[in-house]
Amino acid sequence: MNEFDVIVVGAGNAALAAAVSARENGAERVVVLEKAPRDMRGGNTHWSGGVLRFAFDDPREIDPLIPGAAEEYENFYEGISPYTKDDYHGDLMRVTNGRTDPILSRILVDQSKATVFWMNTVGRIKMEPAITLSAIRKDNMMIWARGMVVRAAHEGVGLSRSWFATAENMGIDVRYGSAATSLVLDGDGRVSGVTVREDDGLRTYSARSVVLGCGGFEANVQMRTQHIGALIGQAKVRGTPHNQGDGLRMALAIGAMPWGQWAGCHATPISADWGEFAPRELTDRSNRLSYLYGVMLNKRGKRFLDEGEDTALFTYAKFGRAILAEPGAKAYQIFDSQVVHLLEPRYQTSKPVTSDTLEALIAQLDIDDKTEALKSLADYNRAAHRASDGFDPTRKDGLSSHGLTPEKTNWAVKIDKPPYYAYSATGGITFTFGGLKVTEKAEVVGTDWRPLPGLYACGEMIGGLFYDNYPAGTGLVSGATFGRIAGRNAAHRARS
Amino acid sequence: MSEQPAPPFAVRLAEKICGFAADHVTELARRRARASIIDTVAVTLAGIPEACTQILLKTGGIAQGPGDALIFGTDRRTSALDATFVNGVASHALDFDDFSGVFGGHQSVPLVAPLIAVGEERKVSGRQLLLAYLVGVETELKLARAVHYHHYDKGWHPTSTLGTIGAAAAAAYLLKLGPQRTATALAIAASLSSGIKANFGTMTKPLHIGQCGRNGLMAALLAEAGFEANHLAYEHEQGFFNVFNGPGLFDMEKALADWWHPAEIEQKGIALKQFPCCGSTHPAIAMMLALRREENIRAGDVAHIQVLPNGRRLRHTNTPRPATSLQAKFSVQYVVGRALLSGAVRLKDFEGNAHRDPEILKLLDITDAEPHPEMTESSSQQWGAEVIVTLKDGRKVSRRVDNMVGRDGDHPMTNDELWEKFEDCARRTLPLEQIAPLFERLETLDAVADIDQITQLARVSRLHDRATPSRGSFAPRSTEPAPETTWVP
Repeated sequence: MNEFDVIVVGAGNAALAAAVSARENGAERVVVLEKAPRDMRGGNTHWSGGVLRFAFDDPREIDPLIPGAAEEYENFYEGISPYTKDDYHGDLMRVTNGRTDPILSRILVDQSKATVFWMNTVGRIKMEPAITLSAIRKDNMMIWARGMVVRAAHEGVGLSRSWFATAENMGIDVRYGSAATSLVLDGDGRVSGVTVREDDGLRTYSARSVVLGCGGFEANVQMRTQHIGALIGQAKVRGTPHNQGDGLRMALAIGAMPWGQWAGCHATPISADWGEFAPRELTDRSNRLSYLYGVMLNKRGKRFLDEGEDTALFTYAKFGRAILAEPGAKAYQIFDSQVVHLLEPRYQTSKPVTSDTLEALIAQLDIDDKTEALKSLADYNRAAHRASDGFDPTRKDGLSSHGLTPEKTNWAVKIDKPPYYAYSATGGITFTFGGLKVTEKAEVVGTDWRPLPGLYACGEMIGGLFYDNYPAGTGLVSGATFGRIAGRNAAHRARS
Repeated sequence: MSEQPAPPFAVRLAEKICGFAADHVTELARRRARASIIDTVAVTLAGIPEACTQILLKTGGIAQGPGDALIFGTDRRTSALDATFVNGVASHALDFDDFSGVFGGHQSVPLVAPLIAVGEERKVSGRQLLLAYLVGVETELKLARAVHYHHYDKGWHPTSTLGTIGAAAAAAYLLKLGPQRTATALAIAASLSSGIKANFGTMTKPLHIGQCGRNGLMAALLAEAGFEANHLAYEHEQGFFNVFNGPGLFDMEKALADWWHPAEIEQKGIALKQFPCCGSTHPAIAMMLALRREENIRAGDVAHIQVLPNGRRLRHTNTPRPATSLQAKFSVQYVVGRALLSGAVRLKDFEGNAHRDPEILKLLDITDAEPHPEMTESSSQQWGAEVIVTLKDGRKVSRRVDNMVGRDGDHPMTNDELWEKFEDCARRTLPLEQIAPLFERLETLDAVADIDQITQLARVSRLHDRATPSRGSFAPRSTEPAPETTWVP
């Protein structure tokens, strides 16, 4: 007799969706093995922005998710453009350069709306309009961005809290500090359980079905260096320190097939004020993306990229890596008082170095060649414009420097209005793209191209969806979609 | 051989305080301390925009000295003393904080502001703060047992008079002063204790709280630095007990008996306030919420609402048509209707014209309130209520509770209810994205390495002016494709 019907490894959005789905589909004894202690629970979901991208034809279909929004905002639905399945799939194809898995991406897109409604009704996840991040302000109006209308209330922290509350209300057993170390096979080669390390030692749990939903390998320096390369190897980690690739290694050890872009990840410029891991309470607010309004200096005191090449959305990925390639993998973003109010609110999570003169500012920074830094700023100021020459932070304003290497091709305004501000920056990794090959039932496929009986995967452990980049708001919906599928099929197997 | 005289009261009390160790803490005590600290932070954030707090922030000489302690909901830092003062006043501004029958007052607000302020300066851990809080509560309630109810009936405001001493005890424990200096801190605090009930119902009631926390912390800081006081300051003929209560009107030994057996915080009389309105209405609100949840009724289904509180609770809450938002706080009819309509009773329900909401007026038309015929005013249980709802289909459903003084030990708030209150309170002051992380950090207080992890989430930077969109209008969609978001995950 097995102890459990379904074992779920991990406790983020995908894993808890799987656990809830398994329970909903008739599995009675469902256990969630969370490696982290209670105060670090919830995987990367805790750090996420909680945005849910899904396809819809008529914006009013969304209303049950966010009742009351139409009364609160004028023209709420009139302003939203339909976001069809083709639009969504087109965006996936575009940002992955056409490489997204054709079968999995279709499942994701086709089920995206049903998934979000399921999260809301069965998962009891409260939602709200994603106004602060999706609505672009122009004059006195807000313009909806495409495809991103809804987010979990209180972002990833709220999403995580709701999932745990729902799981507990459904009688799902959540065990903290329970670190899965290997998968157990029965005599026929079927997955029959998991060996875990807990506070008091090793033990084995048995079940007919095991769902792996324990994330990628972004927190594992060895795997980062090995698979993505030396630059990302030195990145700081924006999310949970517990995503060490455990699930991937356990699955590969029994013959699972790696799939997708193992050399790929999501990475951005983040503050360098913290250690290897950004503090948990700062959630996704470690980003430092307002470099376009200032300049970046490396430890040698030199500019090293065109900060104004484009808006942050189009430059953050390469700039995160670019900073990692500089000495000490570190840079400073320098602003003056005429632009400091334009910085993303995320900047308030660290304390800038400030001064009334550039000399005194540079003197306080961890820059090796301070003379060179002052020269770089002086050169920049000679080549840059006054704000009154047409500075427009809402669009690429064409205000380019002249005579610098590299130039700053937009928003090149002199840094000459004290006080001055310096924020540190480095590269931070969010999550990894490489994973396992799964079927449309979320069964893990072996290197012999046959499913490994009893083993399912979901969330960041699924390979093949994202290459080079991903559309914001897709990670959570993918996690819940394949979590739901994995949980359902795991339950069916357990009952068969 | 002559008998040794007993050591001074302050020294004996100091020995109790210093003898407290982490292994005295039961899981129940830990859980209740955590809930009370979360609750106190919530009401502090709710109290920041209140006039009494804002006047302090505009008054010259207050909170202008340098220091590392945060004034919640701002990016101002000042001395731990002044941060305690302002945050302490805010924490009691709405009278929405927890309380204890034994104490005859509010045991948490004198403690939380000074512990966070000095904890932030000294970089203490969440676990240390939690232990110091427990010491403060134990000191306050034991002292209350020694002086009540004469002390209360005479006109002293125990939250403030005893809170001063509780805050000194908690701060001394946090600062690890040892028995002699802790006794000195307690003796200093005896001289700084004050607060009279004549000022209830005015801004000066919360002022007492800021002042008592500040004075208690000051007593500990001075003692730490070598300040002197008379260790006989309690039992002296011109000491705390004889002056505040009067000769023969106190029992000093009760303050020293039964420390941690069990901890005062484990007693059932400690309660949280779930709703931001008069406590006398809470049993009736709870019954309506239970009906809404368990019978799944909605406002549109209802033909008549009968509210039957204990007569003693109804007398000052019988307001069939509240004319102002203040009256709405004392209208059992309004708050029960609001519970039915919204499934919650929140701060915004007492702002602006919420009490004139047309949907609410419809409910007030079908609501009657009378004293409960079976609940007697002279009984020891004076906090009962029954709510009977007649549905349009003719069915009648009801819920009744015989005694519920706030969310006490017999009716503890669930974690979800605490979160709902926290969110409601914090929204008044904090940017949305900080609310849930702050709650989560407080919920896992034991694992917080540095109190700064908490206060940085209670800080509101000027960069937030951009983050919070004013209620605006959306441009109609155009024929051009919608733009990409500029937000980066």
